[in-house]
Amino acid sequence: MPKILIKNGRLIDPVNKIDKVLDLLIEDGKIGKIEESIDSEIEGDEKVINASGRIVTPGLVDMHAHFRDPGYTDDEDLESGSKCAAIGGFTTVAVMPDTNPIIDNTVVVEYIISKANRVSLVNIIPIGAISKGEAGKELSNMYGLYNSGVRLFSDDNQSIHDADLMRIALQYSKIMDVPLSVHEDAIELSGKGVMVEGFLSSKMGLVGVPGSAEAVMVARDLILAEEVGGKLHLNEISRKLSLDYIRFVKSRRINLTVGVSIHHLCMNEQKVLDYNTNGRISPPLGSEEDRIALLNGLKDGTIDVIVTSHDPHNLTSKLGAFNYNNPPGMLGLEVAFSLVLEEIVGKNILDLSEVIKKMSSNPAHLLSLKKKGNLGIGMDADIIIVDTNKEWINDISKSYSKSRNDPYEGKKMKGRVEYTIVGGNIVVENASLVKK
Amino acid sequence: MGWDRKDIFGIEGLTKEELFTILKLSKYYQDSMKSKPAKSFTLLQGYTIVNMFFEASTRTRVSFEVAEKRMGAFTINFDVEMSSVKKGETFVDTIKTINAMQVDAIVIRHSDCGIPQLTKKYFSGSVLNAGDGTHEHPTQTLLDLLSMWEHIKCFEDIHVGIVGDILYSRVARSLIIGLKTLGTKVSLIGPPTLLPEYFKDWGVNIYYKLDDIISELDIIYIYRIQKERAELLRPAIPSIGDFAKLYQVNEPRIKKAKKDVLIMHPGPAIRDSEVSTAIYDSKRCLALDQVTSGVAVRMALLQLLLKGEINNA
Repeated sequence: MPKILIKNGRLIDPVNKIDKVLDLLIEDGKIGKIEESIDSEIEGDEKVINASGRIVTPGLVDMHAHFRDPGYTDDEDLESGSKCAAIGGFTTVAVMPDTNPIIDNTVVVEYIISKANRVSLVNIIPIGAISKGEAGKELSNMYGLYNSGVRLFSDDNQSIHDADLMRIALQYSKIMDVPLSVHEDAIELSGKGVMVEGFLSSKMGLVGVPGSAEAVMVARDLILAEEVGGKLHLNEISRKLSLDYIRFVKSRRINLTVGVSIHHLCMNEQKVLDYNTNGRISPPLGSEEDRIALLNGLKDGTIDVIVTSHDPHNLTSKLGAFNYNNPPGMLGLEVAFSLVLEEIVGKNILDLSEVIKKMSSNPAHLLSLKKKGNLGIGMDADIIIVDTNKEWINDISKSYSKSRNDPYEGKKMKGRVEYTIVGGNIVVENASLVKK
Repeated sequence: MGWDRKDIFGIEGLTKEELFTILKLSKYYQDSMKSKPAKSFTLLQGYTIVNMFFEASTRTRVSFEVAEKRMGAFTINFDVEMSSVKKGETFVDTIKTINAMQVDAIVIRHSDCGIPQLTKKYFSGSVLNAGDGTHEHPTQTLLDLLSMWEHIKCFEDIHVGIVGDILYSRVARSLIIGLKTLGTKVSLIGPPTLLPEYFKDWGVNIYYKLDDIISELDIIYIYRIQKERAELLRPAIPSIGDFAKLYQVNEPRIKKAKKDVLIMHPGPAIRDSEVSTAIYDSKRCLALDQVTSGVAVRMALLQLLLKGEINNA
């Protein structure tokens, strides 16, 4: 494996508290050296990248994406999804278990790991289902899943309605000491809702989801986690009311982390005004008040992780009316970091180091990835190089996804991933996939 | 300023001037219906209009068809039960197919909100919304406004109370928008389960008991509780009986109202549920006037959308 020398880039690593222009040398797929100035070898096949004026950070880690492989490969598969990830600067992606069959048994875990080894450009971590078939009735074989490589459990977009099952899951998860990543939605309250409840839903005639649908479940799970322990991760919080409750119990002994999707940070309910089905997501896009509360939650540290919620649905399935049967979800991997640079860094919500923490270090830690999420010597060489000033237009026809449900189609972007390096291999160069 | 709209998705977005343009032309067609047989026109001769009703309808569907025929248009009633929709064709493909037949207008009713906008994406002719889910029912509002206009002097001087399951009513929603555009004072009356606080953002007052406001109303607009929305409606009222105790317009209750209060009802009425038979059959109830107005406003609207404003008189 050839060495790679990245010269004159601004290295940002919140874990090792680095934010400085330095040179970085990759050897044997690991981070070998970081120094003020590293001379390139006069001979040898070392690759030198001039990163002057660019930032160099640990590769991004997404805790929440759907690759739909096996089962729904008309929407996406491990290869196409991994291309989206690479282009977007994500070197590791945890994939949700809503496949067919569902990731609730070791055979599916092994399939994903072995297929990913063959076709994926980035690291893929299967997320195991908490309950068998994500049906919310009985626990999946969590320990068996853990043994085959699962490091995070989730019933993805299904809430666990049975409080006793959730309590048991939290207890049982302590054996593995890994988080349960939960989607909080009391279906009795959200019903057939397709957007948040409020004046706009009343205007559009659409059934609204009240803030309580999420907050009630958040409150329940906070209480359960306080009582029995376990690591609780709220995977996609969207409402102000939920955040208020989370802050309310902050001083109590709860092992809690909170995630938010890029979509809920960048858009609000206005996005669905034209009944465009690409604006539908679960939980639905909040009001502007919700969005501002989420931004404040990022600022004050209530929110630990930003995810892409990359959720491809093919063209046919998104065709039609804006109703409950239209599958919710949006693409996100290719554009997430550019959106964060503009909407979060550009608007002074977080600085670059804090962003890297929430999009790389924290999710790597939650996924028990000890060799990722920072630029320490000996760590895996999962690294991205980003031009934060590069302007480009998001053109869905150029997406690597098999689906087209992109709510940011045509948007002017600022900031682009130029290089994605995974385990010392360059998979994206000059913002294009490297041809094998 | 001439008329330049080709479609009508809802009352939202129509200006006061546009509403009066429609109402004035409707009045012209209303008068034309006084002769026997009602006068027919040739203005839309050669135009093809397809009526697509994906939801049950009597008065709206028949009214549209009568209006289209009296205007001289060639009309086709698309039969959902007998169509390829039943074979699994997607809605979008159905619209594309109709579009390929060089049709001039589609009149559409559907249980999904936003269907007229979706139709327009794939159809090059005019789209008329005949009711989309719980969103809007613009021609109902236009005929309601026409019926009101025949009995009042000025929309700005009256106070209209709309009573019922506001949350799930496209009729109420369009009417609120229309009346607010014309400067009318509007109160909404219904149980809080079907009348959330945020409805105040429409610029209206909300009341949970009809008795609290009935004495101030010039027009009471009532309609039936929509059982076909039961899929969306969790048990938001304990029973029709309990609802009737609070909201039924009946003789004891009407005694508390202004002497010349008018009752309006879009139909179909469920007698002795939201309205007593005595009141429904009384002179103050405009329900059948509204039906007559329905044909006139649809004639006017078809003319405006397909031909624009021309000097009719």
